[in-house]
Amino acid sequence: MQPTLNFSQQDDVFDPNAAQPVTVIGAGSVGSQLVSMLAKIGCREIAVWDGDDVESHNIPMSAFRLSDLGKPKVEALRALVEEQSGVRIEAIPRMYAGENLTGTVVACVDSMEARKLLWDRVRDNPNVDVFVDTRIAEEFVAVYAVAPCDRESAEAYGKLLYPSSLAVRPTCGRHGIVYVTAVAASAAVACLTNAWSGRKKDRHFKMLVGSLERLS
Amino acid sequence: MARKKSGSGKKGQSKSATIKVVPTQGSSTESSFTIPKGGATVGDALKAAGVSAERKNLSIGGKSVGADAPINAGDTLQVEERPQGS
Repeated sequence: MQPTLNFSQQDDVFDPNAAQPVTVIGAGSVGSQLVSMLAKIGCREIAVWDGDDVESHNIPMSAFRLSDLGKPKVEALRALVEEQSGVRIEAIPRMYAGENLTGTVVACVDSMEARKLLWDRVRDNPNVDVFVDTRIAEEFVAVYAVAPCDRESAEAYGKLLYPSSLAVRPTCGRHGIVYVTAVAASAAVACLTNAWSGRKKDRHFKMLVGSLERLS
Repeated sequence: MARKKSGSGKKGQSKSATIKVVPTQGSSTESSFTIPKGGATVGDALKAAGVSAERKNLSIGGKSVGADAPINAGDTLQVEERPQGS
């Protein structure tokens, strides 16, 4: 018989039965760790979109293993998550291109254009309860949780959709590091457990991780 | 203009605002901007501090603002780099 996760040490922190279906766009450094965490808090319906393969420079910042090198990211992640938690994710080995979205949606993408495309499908969508956007640069993390049908929440988030040409472009060697991507993934999961537990959906988290400075 | 580490400033001084610059690595820095009698904009404060608004998010009290927005005594203008990775 296949062993299953025992949540007895954490189910008063978050009830695994409260977990909702999640679609994660992007299985990179943040996305891979986030999906692994989601499975370990009790999510059983996780769909992940990504059309890239695991490259050597992806491994230090992500959940991927050396043995995953060259594999499609979503396939590697499916195997990894199933081994860790027994959860079989839905692996979608292509880039998201504007398909319909339902449930909870998390953006782990690396361009503002991809975020804009997602937001266009999520905003005012009554079938999406929470939208979470993760952003990193070097040691800086920003995570935005938005209630897509809440006008004030949506308008505030819309102001943060600047074009990629107006965003910082870290040079090679300065994209991020695993303790930063892990904080981004953790903050995104915390946003989801808050929302699914009936607490506030609209939450923003920003931190300079290296100096442990929480920003308002 | 003297700069100091975040958190060490005197907030709420009668005629000044604080400019907090958040890099993508290291610690944030704060500087003080004296509001002139006729008032000032966010752009004026950035110019006085020698801070470029290029590729930055500007906010006061957690709300996004533009360079032409007014800045008032006691405000903290936060200037952040705009990340897009994940």
